[in-house]
Amino acid sequence: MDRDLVEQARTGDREAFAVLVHQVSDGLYAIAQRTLRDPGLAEDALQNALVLAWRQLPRLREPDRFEAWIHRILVHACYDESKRARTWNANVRILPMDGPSTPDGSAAIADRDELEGAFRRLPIDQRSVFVLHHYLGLPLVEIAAMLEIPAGTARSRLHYAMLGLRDALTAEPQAPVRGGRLA
Amino acid sequence: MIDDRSLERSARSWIEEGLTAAPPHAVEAALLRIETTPQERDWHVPWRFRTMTLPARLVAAAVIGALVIAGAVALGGLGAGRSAPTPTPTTAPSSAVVSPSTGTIVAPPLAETFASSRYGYSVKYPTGWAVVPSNTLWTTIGSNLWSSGINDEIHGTAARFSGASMQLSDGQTADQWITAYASPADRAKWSRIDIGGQSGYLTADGAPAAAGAIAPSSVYFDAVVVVEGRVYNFDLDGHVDRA
Repeated sequence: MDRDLVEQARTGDREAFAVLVHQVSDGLYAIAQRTLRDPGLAEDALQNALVLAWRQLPRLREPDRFEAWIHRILVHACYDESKRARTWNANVRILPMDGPSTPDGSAAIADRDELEGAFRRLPIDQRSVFVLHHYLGLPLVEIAAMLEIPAGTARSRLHYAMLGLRDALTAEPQAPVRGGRLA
Repeated sequence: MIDDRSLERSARSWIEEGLTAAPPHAVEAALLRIETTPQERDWHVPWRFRTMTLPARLVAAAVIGALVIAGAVALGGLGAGRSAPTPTPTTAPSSAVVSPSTGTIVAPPLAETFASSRYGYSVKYPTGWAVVPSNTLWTTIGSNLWSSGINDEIHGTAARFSGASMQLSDGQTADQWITAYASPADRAKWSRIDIGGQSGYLTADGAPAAAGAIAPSSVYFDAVVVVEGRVYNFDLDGHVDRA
């Protein structure tokens, strides 16, 4: 990350910030999309994170930490979007689908399906730690520092996320509700 | 039973699938919003205050000692639908201040007075400083940045002052305004200060000035006072000191 660009953006240079936006947007969107599992919500989280980052940039004390700082803003934007989605989903009825419970009989695809369903059922804070650790490759200590939580909390969130996924992969299929999952 | 390693491998492989590029329209929409979004001001308060030079203290004393809320405003306010009275200074600043570290310091004479008819306050300042009155009314919290045209600005060579005021919204309390003005974490660091005989808040108590400050390695102060339903915001930037 170009420190000079961050410094310029801190002092109100919108062009410098636009360059930064183009540098970080793909990475931020990929994280948001994987955390929220919904392209529309991920777009909203990305936009809100970028606007909030612009507003709060003068408060950034260490320009070298820009990337970690904006990741934290994005994670919180994902929390907000998740709440919004939950409110909306509360008004959606789950309808069972007809047809076989396993779409194509492929174990790998079925596993992905189970992972997808299980991941969506995880609390958003567990999802975030999972994505930051397994997708971004960040060590738990770094994730804890980024999210301003104790390292033990980050470890615990990852542990419970993995437990949730494990349960999904080892549990018996529940045919009546397949295909009617909520986002 | 799936073992930990297999589970982790499966999960990692699964999470890597999916979109990796932000939709251009989402990025453009964000940049469009940013075009009309002001940056928040930096209210960070350092743990230690920097050591000020004697000239710095002189300038500081000159400016901070000169701040006066106009009596006309304090008593009558600038309510909606009312015309702004011409403010007049109510007190004369002291000609000297005492610094615990350096003894008595004589401030430069505050021979000039600027009265802001737009915002309803007056301030005394040293001869030779340049006055740039505001050309745009302050209506949005956080938008009164330096050189935005919203503040009245008075410049010396190594320090500058800015002032602006806005009416509280209907039903809005001073606390609500201040909460919107600075984050709760920063607000806890505010200290009380007397401004023209009114109880106000010092919100950036000698914080290092960001790039673009009037003088390198300088500091700034930001003070807020609410009088009769109107919020006044005064900033000092450069070689200034709260003394």
